[in-house]
Amino acid sequence: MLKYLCKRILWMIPILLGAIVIVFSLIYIAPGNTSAILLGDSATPETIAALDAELGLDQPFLVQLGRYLKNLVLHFDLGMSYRTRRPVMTEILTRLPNTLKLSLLAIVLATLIGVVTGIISAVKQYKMADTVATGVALIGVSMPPFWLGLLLILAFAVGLGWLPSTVVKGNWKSWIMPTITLGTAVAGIIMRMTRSSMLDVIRQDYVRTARSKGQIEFKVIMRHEFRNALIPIITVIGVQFGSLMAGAVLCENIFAINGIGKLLVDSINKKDYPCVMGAVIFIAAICTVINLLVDILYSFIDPRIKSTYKGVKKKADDDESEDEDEEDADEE
Amino acid sequence: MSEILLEVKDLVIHYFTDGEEACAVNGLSFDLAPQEVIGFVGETGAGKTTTALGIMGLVPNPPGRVLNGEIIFQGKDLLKASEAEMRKIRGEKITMIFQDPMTSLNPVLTVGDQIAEVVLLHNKMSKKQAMARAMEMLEMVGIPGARCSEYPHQFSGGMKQRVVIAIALACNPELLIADEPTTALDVTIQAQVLDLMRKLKEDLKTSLIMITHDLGVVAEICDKVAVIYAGEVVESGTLKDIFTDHRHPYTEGLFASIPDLDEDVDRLHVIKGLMPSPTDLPTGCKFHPRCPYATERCASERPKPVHLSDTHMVLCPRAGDGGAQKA
Repeated sequence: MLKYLCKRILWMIPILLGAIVIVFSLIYIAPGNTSAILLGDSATPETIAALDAELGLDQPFLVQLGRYLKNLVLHFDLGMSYRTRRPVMTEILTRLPNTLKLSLLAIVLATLIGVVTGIISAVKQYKMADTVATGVALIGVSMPPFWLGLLLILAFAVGLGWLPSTVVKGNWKSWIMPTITLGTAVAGIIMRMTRSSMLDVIRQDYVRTARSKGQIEFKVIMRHEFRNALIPIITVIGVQFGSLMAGAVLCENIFAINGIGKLLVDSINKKDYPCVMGAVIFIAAICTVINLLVDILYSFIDPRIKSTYKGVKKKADDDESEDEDEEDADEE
Repeated sequence: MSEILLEVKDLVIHYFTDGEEACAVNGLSFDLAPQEVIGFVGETGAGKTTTALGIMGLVPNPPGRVLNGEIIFQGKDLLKASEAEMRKIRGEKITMIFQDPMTSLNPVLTVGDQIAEVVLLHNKMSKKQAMARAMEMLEMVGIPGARCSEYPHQFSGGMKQRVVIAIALACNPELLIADEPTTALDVTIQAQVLDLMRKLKEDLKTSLIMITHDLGVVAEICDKVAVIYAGEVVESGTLKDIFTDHRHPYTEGLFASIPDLDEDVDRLHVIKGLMPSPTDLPTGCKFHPRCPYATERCASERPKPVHLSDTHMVLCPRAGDGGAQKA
């Protein structure tokens, strides 16, 4: 197990490196002269050249990339923000708690709602409760979060005036709408996965064995059915957490939350490339860490997986490509 | 047979799927005395397992429904018992060993936990005591007690079946239903499991319903036999009645299909045709389309049970003449 863990942690290095190189290249080939944009209307060829030299933008691609990596690895330095002239690391670390808070609240809400309704739905398959739950889940999944967010603001902030329309520090009520906005679609996805995964195990022989022991129905469901249905559910929660970080971009903009997502959008608009790079790297790192956690969780849930870790050691390869897809999505 | 532990009367269980009605069990009756072993013999799909599930109150609903009948266990009709009452009976008084040991154990719980679960449900004891009992049960079925903390995937098929047996016997049940306990096992393990079950039957004084399509198993362990065809008992009697004096053409076919060691034959005897589909059962005697002695009357008239002795019942009008008996 320990050996497997070390291996997985080492695997994170090439994954992150790949992400950095891809994002760096994309920014490099993006059209527009950074210095010219930064200087605005007053720019002259001389001032542009001077700024290029100052920012190191006149160097060849590989030199720029090499210098970026060197600073990152040796000094944990993500460079200076073009806009604010402050270290990107500071910019991100001041905003990271907000984004993490939002994502965690959303995933907790989505998991609670999704898992509970998913279980009920599977147990009451084709009954009223199931039909209602699957219907609501479908609506939840189909609704774009930004639209839902705007609707919520219209209803509860503008119309009823119950909740503030933007997140205010120290006011927990202001987090309710962003959490719902971000969590609804994920709750629907988790609900559907829980339902189908439960339906897979619900007719298994060992469930019948449990009933034949005289076990009460609730325990049959939780101890024998749900525990066996957990693996796909955990997987979906892990993947969804990654996409929540990306989904937070829109949500943070709607509710004016000062998080990484908002930083990313603002930075892209202002061509503040060091900030874009930094934000993407952070999101990628969080995704890989969550993937790792999910894999570790597997072995606690299913003893059969734990025993394979002791022997075979080919698993990490599969996860890599997945992560890079996510990064590309974030970058846009 | 002065005392009766279990009496099943005219049990009818149908499955309803996609507008079709599958008649799995059609008026099945039998009784069982304490410490007696009855063998249910019949083809796949004859309704043996459904009957067993009916006794356990575990017929999956939907699609299954018990439409008629009585299951009287220790003087009480189980079909009228509430779910809470049934839960007390299941696992303690009546237990069941399921067909496939590979899938009958929960893969994410240790075998010790799974045995202790049933012990805890029916006894007032601490988790520790239940675990000790689980180890004891494992030892009894011939598995080292120390393997309590292992998971099902670490056991072989035969050992899993023994774990399933340990679960079924953990609360000293009055009635054990064994649904083809040896079918999924290879021959050497089969013998071990049968030996074990015979020993347990003697030691624990449990009544047993043995579901099987292996007449060899029946001969080894049963006191009496019920031959089941299309959800009905077509012939029942003591081991001797059935093995030496079977009268029903279907029973005859079953015995004829056992290869004889002394005789040199090219082809095994088969009963012609297939088991009728439970959604479309023949009228009259359900066996008549496959019966070599069928007359027109068989196709239209439901046969009445013929009692040849106190123990021997045959569901065939010819039985009285002794016509179906092989010379």
